[in-house]
Amino acid sequence: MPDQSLATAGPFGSHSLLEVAKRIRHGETSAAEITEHALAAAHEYGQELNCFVTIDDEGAARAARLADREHQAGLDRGPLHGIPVGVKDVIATSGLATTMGSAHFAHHVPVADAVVVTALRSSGAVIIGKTQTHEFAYGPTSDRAATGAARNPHDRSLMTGGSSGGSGAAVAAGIVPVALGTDTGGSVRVPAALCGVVGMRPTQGALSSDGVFPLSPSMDVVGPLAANVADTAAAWWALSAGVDYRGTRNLGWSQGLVPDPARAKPLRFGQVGCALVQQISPDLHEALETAVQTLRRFSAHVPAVAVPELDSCADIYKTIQSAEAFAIHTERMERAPELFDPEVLERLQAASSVRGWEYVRALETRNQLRSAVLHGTSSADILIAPTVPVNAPALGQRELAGEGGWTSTRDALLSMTSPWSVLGFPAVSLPVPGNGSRLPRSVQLIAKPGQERQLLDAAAMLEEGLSAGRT
Amino acid sequence: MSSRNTADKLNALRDAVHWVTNTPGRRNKRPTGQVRA
Repeated sequence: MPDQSLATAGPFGSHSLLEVAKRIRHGETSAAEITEHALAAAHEYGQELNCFVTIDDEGAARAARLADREHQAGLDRGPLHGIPVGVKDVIATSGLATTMGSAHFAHHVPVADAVVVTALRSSGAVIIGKTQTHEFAYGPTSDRAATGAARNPHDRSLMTGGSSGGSGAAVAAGIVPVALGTDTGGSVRVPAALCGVVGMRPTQGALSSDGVFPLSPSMDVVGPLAANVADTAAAWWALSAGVDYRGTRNLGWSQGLVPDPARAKPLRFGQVGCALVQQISPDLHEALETAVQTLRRFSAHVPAVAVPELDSCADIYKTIQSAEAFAIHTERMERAPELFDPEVLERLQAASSVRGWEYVRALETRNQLRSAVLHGTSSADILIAPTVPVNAPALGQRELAGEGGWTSTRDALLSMTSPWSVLGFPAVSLPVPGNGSRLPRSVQLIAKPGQERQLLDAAAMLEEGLSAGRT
Repeated sequence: MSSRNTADKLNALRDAVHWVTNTPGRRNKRPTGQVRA
């Protein structure tokens, strides 16, 4: 019999980010109080879920007190001001250990924040700790790291997905309302899907990667995981508003940046059609159909849009990611191979077989595919597709019993997300509630590069429609 | 969960725009909790 679910067990399981933010401003709670609750949940549930590598009790309490003093002094940094958040452990945090999930960096304490962390702090967010990551973010399962496997709050015998598995679990458990992840082939969207939260991969290059340990630099991006679309938008605001190092913030926050379901209605939607997206389990096929039918209630029709290029992306993804990952780790592999997790080391050794000309050709092919997909999907603003083809596999499970036609867990988990990474399109995974399924189900919305606002408008519309469908 | 959920949260986010843009003392503040290493 499975353990009791820890989904929504923490303080943000029953209170949304914005609800808490409002209560702070009404004097009904304080940043210090809510941070204390989040820290307690991080210790209690975080330990069972193994979703935090480091919990910063002292630093978080200090930041929360400062946020309260700023509120009292009339300074308001926005919705994240005084709100506890988590940061994936491959993203540098000044003065706070950042281990990359690896024994290689077990005692590494950065001297400077990553740019995205400065953006979070500038928005007043209170960083309560560093969330678990698959070692060096090199895997979609989050069950291979120096500190052990992250566990799925819905069923602790199952994986969270990865590589931002700790962030997915921490948000799903309601410990924090928002956590940062990184997404190379799906490392934000996959754990979001398996843990039942919202996960956003911004356009390639939209956010600075300075201070983020690379996996495959030409595809790495930072993205938020959050409990719902509004919280995702608040985090996206904070991350994308920009920072300058005098400490002033870009004040470009405006009503127009708040997602608006009504604004999404005129958008042209399309359902991705190709052989790949047929390879999904019946449960997730039903979730996709539910989401498409929901969109049809708002949009006149959601035609199939053929994107045959997606069927070619998996090989391109593997070639590019392998070559770039090996380039980053080659000296480390020679110097201290014993410090790697054995499976991660084995994969890096296999990655060394990619030849220079193969990498160069893969980059050329990627450009051709991107042009072809931009042209071929010009009839749609927003595409809908599965995020993952299967529900959360068991911890350590590497082979599937043919669900959706898949036998490799890793290939299955990355199959629907990595093509959009190759192409550099922004995408968001969001949960599809309903049908009594014990495990989270999800779909993925994809926009054109640079169209995050349309993406969040559409996500808000779909979320609203899906929750209305349940009442 | 009700259909008001998303709308309520988005309305709260609209309120949050005012929190920021109507704050006079916003400029020249160091990021919260930043450690000077």
